[in-house]
Amino acid sequence: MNNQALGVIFGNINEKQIGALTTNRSIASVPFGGRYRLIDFTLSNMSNSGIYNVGVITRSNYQSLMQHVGSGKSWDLSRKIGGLRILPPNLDKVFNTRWEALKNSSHFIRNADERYVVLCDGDVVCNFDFSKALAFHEDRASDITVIYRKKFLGEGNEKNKLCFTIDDDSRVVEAVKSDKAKGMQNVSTYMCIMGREFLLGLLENSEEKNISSLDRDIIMRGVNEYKIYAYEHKGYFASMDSISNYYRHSMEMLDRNKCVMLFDNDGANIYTKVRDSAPCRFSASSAVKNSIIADGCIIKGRVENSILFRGVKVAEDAVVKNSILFQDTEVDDGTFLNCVITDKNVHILESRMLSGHETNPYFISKNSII
Amino acid sequence: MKKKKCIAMLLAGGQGTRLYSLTTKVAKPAVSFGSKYRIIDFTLSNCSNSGITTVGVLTQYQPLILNEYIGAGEPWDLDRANGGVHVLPPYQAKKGGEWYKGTANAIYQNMHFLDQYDSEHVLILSGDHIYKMDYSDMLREHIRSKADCTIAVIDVPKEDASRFGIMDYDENKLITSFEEKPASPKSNHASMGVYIFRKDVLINELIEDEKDELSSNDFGKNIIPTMLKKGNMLYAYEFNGYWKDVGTVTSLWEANMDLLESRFDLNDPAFKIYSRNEALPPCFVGEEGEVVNSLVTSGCEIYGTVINSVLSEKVTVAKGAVVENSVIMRGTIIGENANLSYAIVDEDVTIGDGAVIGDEMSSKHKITLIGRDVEIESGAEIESGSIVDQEADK
Repeated sequence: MNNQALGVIFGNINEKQIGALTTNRSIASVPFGGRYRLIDFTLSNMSNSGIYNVGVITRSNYQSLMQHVGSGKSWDLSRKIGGLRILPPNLDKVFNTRWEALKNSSHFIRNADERYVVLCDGDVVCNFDFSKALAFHEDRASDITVIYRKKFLGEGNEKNKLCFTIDDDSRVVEAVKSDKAKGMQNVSTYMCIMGREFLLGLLENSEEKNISSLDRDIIMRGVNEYKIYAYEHKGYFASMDSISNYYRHSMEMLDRNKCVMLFDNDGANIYTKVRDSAPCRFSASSAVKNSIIADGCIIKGRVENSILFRGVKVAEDAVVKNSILFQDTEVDDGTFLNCVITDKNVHILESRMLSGHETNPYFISKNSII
Repeated sequence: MKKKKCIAMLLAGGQGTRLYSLTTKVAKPAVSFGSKYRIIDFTLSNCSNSGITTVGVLTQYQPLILNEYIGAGEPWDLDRANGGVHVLPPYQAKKGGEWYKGTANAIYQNMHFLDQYDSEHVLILSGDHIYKMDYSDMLREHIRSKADCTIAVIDVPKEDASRFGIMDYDENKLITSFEEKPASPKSNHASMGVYIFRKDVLINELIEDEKDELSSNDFGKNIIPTMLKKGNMLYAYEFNGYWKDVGTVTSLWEANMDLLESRFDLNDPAFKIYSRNEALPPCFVGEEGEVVNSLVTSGCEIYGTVINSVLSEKVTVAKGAVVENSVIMRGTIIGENANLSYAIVDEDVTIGDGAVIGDEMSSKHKITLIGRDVEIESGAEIESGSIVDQEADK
């Protein structure tokens, strides 16, 4: 029954919130965890769950995303039957919401013959088995199954996310936005399952039914009209809604328990495009503590509590602390970095002292020379 | 199908007996090397980087892991619609099948492959050397000189010369003599086991050689000397880069250490070495971890100390453990406070807490070898130079 689901990924969702990281790329291709891009998690989850027909809806800035996913081979999604498809925008109709994006790509959903559609945001970081959620969806004969996680909502965090009230049978009885919900909540992961015919019906009648938002017009307004059930994701979960959140979630990868939960869930691994870098080289003068170091790095200096992507070079007498250095960043002699995020191919010259704060990391944009 | 100028035949059936327990379950070309590679990656990457996209890999001894590793050849960009990489095991034909008698016989038995692709030239390679070489340059020379056969040659130290095929050649690189493993070598020009033949010449020679019942059907021992005797034009192609035969425990260890001394550069974006790798997160160095002058790769977790060592994928070094001057292959777990020096530890080994591998006599000539899947008990002491494998356990 697994191949009865079609995957749809929103490649450009929530981009404004994360600002600088998406100047040159879609949110789905934002680097994460030393060698990954955000979309790797969803593509791997789908592939690991037997979903081999996947469309990625893109709107803007998607060159880097296309380059990254290629034919989908790395995720075993280069398939004769199904496989990975990029769904670029129709230039006449620029869309902003998930619903408009779906309408724009409704041909993809119409032309498929899977029974279900799995919808997922492109910035979701988790290791999730859709096949279990699909079995749940089928068992409840639901119209929509939303996947949620339990989370304590304090002041100011999780803006604009859906929170669900559910009954004993896991049916959603109420859905509200997170600014109206406090305390322990069932918060949407922005992964959900719908019947394909059901979704098509809504898409085709979206004018009559006055639908322009998936959250508001279908889920919040539809709790009585439709059978909406909720399925809990219990493992690690992150989605990127601000640059400080991006930083915080990245640093969580230094916690081995979270890392294991994310990268090896019962043998389900996260795949990414291979770069064929040489192994990481630690020189005689290197001193590395509590850090993730990807292949292709050459470390001569000190690195602490940091995440180094592929091909990063840290010179002797350089100190990198609490920082995230993207692919091919070079840090020269005598330089000190603290709470810095460097985008790809940044070169920080000798004896620079750069520091941000964990709540407001100092971001250096792509190809800069500082 | 468009014919290719040159296809490659890669001899990967070597048993590698001098690697002892490292090759009890895998063929020598599939032995791990240099943190994230296997020995055969170098030859396959050379082919790919030289534009040679049809490669027959001749396997024989312990082929399973090697076959699985090569697969459809995607990691080396050798999954091609026309050509690509093909594993060629010995097979049972109508007249019966047999194991390959020698290197030349291995090619002889797969002559149908040569005929199928019908290229003008055939490159013969062996899958057990570490080097980066652009074969297209050698092919150009081979075509320019109109040679029947061109042999890649590297100058080796005099004292090692008797381990190789040794040749003499004139100022035009025309080979004048060739002796396989001579007791008293006349020169130090050693054959690298890399040959380019004109295909028609090769086929002829293989058929002739097969008829000779006294022949050991070997390129170095039979084919090359016979061709010289008959007056064929054999040319030498000089190679000056890094080249290492990793046929012994010491040479395998040395070649790994050469990577740490930057004698061999894996980091050249213009000539990458490709390999098949599992999906693993990047390496993690813990709060008390220390990694000095070492190569480490994806999936490794380092909580102890690693000095002058090469670690493959998914190696864990627990707190307080010290790994020094060692080569640790994939999936091995080194327990707390264990101590390793001058060791080669094969894949999926578990070293118990506090175990000591090697002693004050350890050196590159006294490497301790721990075979695949072995479990070393906590607190065990293993003498330097010993070989521990699963067979010995029983």
